[in-house]
Amino acid sequence: MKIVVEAKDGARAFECEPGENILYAGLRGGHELPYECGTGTCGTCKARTLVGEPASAWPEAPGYALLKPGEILMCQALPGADCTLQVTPAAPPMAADACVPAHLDAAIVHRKRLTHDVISLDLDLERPIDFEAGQFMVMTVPGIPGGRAYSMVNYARPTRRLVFVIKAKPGGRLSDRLFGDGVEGTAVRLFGPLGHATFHPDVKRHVLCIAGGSGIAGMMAILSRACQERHFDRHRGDLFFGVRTPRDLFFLDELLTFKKIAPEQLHVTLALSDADVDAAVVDAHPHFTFARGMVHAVAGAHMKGKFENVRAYAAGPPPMVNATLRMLLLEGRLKTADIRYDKFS
Amino acid sequence: MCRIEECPRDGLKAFDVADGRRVLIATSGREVYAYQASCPHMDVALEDGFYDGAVITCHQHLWQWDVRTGAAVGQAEAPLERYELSEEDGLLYLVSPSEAPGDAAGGKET
Repeated sequence: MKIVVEAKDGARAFECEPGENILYAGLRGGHELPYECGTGTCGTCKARTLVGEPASAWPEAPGYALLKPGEILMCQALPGADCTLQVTPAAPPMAADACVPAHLDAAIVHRKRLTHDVISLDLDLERPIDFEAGQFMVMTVPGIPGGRAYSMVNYARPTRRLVFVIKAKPGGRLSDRLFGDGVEGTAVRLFGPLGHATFHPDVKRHVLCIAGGSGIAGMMAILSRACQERHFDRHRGDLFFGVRTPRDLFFLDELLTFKKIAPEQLHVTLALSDADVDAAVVDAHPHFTFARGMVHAVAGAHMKGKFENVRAYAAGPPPMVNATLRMLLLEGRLKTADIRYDKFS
Repeated sequence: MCRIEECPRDGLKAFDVADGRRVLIATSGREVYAYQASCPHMDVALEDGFYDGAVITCHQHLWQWDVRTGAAVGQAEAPLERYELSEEDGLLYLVSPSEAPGDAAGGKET
């Protein structure tokens, strides 16, 4: 089917396969269509239908609450015939060096338990791909409706291996499946890479990462790339990782590896929202700083006076990201262009 | 529409008015401004946004506007629609377009 999207900067035409949503068809065609979550919640990929009436893959998607009459979510739109849509922002062709997203077959090859309710999954892709540090994939598991977004933990270019972090969601069908027996060997479908909260070493700025819970995933890729490319030889790095209690912490060995690459310039602070910092935890991790408090508040206090020439990245539960944005704007006085995050609500 | 003291100093608050509109009141020092209450990008409630007394920021995609004019700042692609206010005995009134004075610049001195 032929899809035309009219944008501020002109019209884009691309092919959409049966069963494929319009957003993914346009993105894999190399068109920079507006989106953030890619999974039906944020509403950013809204479009007005001019010709055609695409069906919805998920009529209950929360993103529909943000629409006006006559608008659709491109990420849920399954066209039955040729369609013409209109979007508000520009939709330019992707840059020549962009990591153009694609549909990918993959297999879960290894699962590792990180905490009582967090696991990591290693996936092998059908072919090597490039992605930017901080990007995510939408994963679909056969038999379970809907896709979920997971940020890549690892960074290598190109790579056939991806690592995701998954937090248990009791009662969730996908969560039950991924935490259940026999998940290794499961074939999955991915679409990506997606996301704009990316780190590039050619941006000559200090790096500030603020993560809550599984939001640490994309920060690991950012720190990995920054270490690989010696970004911290010339710039400061500050990571704030917020969890409830010490037993919710993970990736401490990996963070220690980063810290040893940039011992003077990279600072890792672990924020505990629901537990006091006891001496045993501090003594066990002498390379890290511990603080009690919400991670955005801990970051705001520790970064006071150090926001100059900073580019900040935020990821985690939506209320935590919201509080972090407020802190970065009002306390840090950062420009919005220097705050990178992907909205998932 | 509302009493001035209902509006937080250097803060944001939204009110429903009789004609069905929802209006954002932003105060900056002694100035009071009235704008459309939802973001022109995706209709997100601006009273939930971030505000430092000078720049209003929508929390959804960080579009920003100058509180004195409603003009777009930074990445925002559209200005905020501005409403004219009048004040009498501590009460704020929206001036309907037909009676609005020609000069739409400048806030209402309180």
